[in-house]
Amino acid sequence: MSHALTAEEKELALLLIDVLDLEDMSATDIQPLAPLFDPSNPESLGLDSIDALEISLAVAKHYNVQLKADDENNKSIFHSLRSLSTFIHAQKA
Amino acid sequence: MITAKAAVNSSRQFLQRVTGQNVSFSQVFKHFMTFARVSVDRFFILKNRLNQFDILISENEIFELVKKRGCMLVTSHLGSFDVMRVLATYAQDVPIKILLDVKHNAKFFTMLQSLNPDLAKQIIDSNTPAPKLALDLNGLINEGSNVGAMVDRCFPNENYVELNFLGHPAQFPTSAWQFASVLKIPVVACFGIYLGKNQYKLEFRLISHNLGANRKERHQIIQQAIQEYVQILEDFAVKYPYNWFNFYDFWKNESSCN
Repeated sequence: MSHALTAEEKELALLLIDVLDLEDMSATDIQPLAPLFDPSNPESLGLDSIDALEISLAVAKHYNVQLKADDENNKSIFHSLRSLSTFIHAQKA
Repeated sequence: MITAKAAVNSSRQFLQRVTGQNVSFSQVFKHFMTFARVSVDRFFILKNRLNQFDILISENEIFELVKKRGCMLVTSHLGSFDVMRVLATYAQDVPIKILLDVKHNAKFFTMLQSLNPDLAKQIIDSNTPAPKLALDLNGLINEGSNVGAMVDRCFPNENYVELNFLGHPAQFPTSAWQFASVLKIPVVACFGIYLGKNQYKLEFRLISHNLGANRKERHQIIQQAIQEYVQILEDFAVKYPYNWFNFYDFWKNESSCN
């Protein structure tokens, strides 16, 4: 699997940076496979549950895709930038 | 299971802590009589028979904010939340959706469905998975509703913070505050105080215009907001002790955290 961002992932990364106010980051700072939420992993963005809700709202507005799944599915969808991007574009297709 | 004896003991414990004095039987009796009166009134209010009540509203700038809509209204088991219905009906036309744990309030919800099915439709189940709930609440806010949530009672498995209430640590749930933070909406504390006879008074206190403005300090900002709410709750409890309707051991986990 590639560690470079696809165009879709870059767009999503920019959205996350904007919504989450990560002003000291650029899109390429986000590793596509790094966990978004695991604070014990140094590569992780260390996001929390409130961030997850902010992302849900932003994704609904920006892509018109609703992340309405139950908690179990959310874990895999929200795992990384790549998993989130893949889910969004699968829903849009 | 709440027995009559446990309820009497919890009334006595609360009144002792709020007054700082020994509590007589007549005080406990008055406490339960106030609760009985407000509980009966509740049926009439839920049947939309509001015109038999005299409901005072202090029309200050915070009330104007609520009238403009799109606020999180944090409420408590102090007085009658139901008189807030006056805002949504003939007097003011301010719609309110209620965030309620339907599972833990199953009896109330069933009763409401039979008493007033239209009102039951205004209930949003707080057990909805969080991402969907955030989207739903966002939609309701955009449509011009306020969202009301009880924030003084903590159910098992709920996230909470522990703060001193009347000098002793108690648990307060955090999720309503987190949603307010995500939605970046004002948070207003509301109380429907029972004043005696058929009189109620609506009181509003602004807690924050926006809990979600600063991501890095968000947790601290939410914590401060809850602390502020607990202080307001305490002030109202001291001023209107017989309006306190948490008839269970409110400080239940005190011994386990000491």
